[in-house]
Amino acid sequence: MDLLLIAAGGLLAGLVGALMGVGGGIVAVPFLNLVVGIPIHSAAAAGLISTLSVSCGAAGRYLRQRGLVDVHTALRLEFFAAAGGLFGGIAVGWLRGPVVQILFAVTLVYACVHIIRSALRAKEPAAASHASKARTLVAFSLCFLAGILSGLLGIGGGIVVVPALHLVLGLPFKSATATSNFMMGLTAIPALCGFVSRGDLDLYVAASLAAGVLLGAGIGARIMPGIKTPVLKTGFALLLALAAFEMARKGIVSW
Amino acid sequence: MVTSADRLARFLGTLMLVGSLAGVLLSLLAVVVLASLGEVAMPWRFSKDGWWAGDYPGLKFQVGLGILLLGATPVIMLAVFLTRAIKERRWDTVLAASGLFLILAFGLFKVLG
Repeated sequence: MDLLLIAAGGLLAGLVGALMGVGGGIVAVPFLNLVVGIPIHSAAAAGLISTLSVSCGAAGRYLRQRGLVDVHTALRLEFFAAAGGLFGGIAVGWLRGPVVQILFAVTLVYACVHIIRSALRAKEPAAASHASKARTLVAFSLCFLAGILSGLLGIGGGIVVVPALHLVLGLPFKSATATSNFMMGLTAIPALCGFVSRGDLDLYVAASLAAGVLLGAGIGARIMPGIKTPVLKTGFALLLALAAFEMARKGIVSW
Repeated sequence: MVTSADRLARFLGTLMLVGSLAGVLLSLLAVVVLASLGEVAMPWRFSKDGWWAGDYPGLKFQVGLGILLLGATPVIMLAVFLTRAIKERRWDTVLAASGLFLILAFGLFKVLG
């Protein structure tokens, strides 16, 4: 029964991930922790598997489209993201469950604001005109931060990486999204090493979730053209806000 | 005109899709069989000490193997990029990809150590 519930959660995560342009982890981790009742550290480990699954599927499709993924930029930035992921995956072992839950709640609020702002915008903001040395350093720092978040919370970090690529380095929005998807999987692997070394990765949860996510992402990509995105984005942001509240409440109660 | 870089990107795209799908299906298939045999006991930790211990070791091994295949897919892609960059003498890409392998090696050391 639990396996079906987890797979259904994965399906939901993959579906909304594809529709909203976020990785599956931001939906999968709260679902596993709040609905299924899996401890936050194990939920975050499974979230990374979901991120890996989404990244491989999306990057596979994007790589086949000519010039969409900026591999050269991705590899340069990925060194910092992967280092952050490795650090985050190890550091989360030093933090108690309630601390991770509260950190996750704060990240969910940020994701919520990010999604509402993009829903209200008529078009994407203009990309940076050039990538100076200072901007490149900012992008490196942001990618390191995204990696840490990914390792700590089991999310992809796209909410930080996409703005870094688009607004700081000047990649077109579509290319920034594709490049971020390409990078997520490579960030998730070192982050997962920390979780595996502590025994936080549950195979049943990971396998069921990954299957659900892959299916959900496939369905999401197919139905996306016929869906009114701003309304859906606002609804999803409200759902995230609710999850943030519940996550913070749970964290504070069990502090 | 289709360049060799385009051909490589298409090949790697296909590799990512096939690798991830194969990994997920491999582990899912074994999980479904294990669940139908009543072998579901959470937590089932994935560790170097043998996640396949107990009854039905073959099926349990297959679940872990699927997850490993999913994780190995982007690493294989990275290895192909590195090999290609070495052949084309693009040293900045070689440096970036080698740095990434160093981090992955450190992570692996953490798991095995």
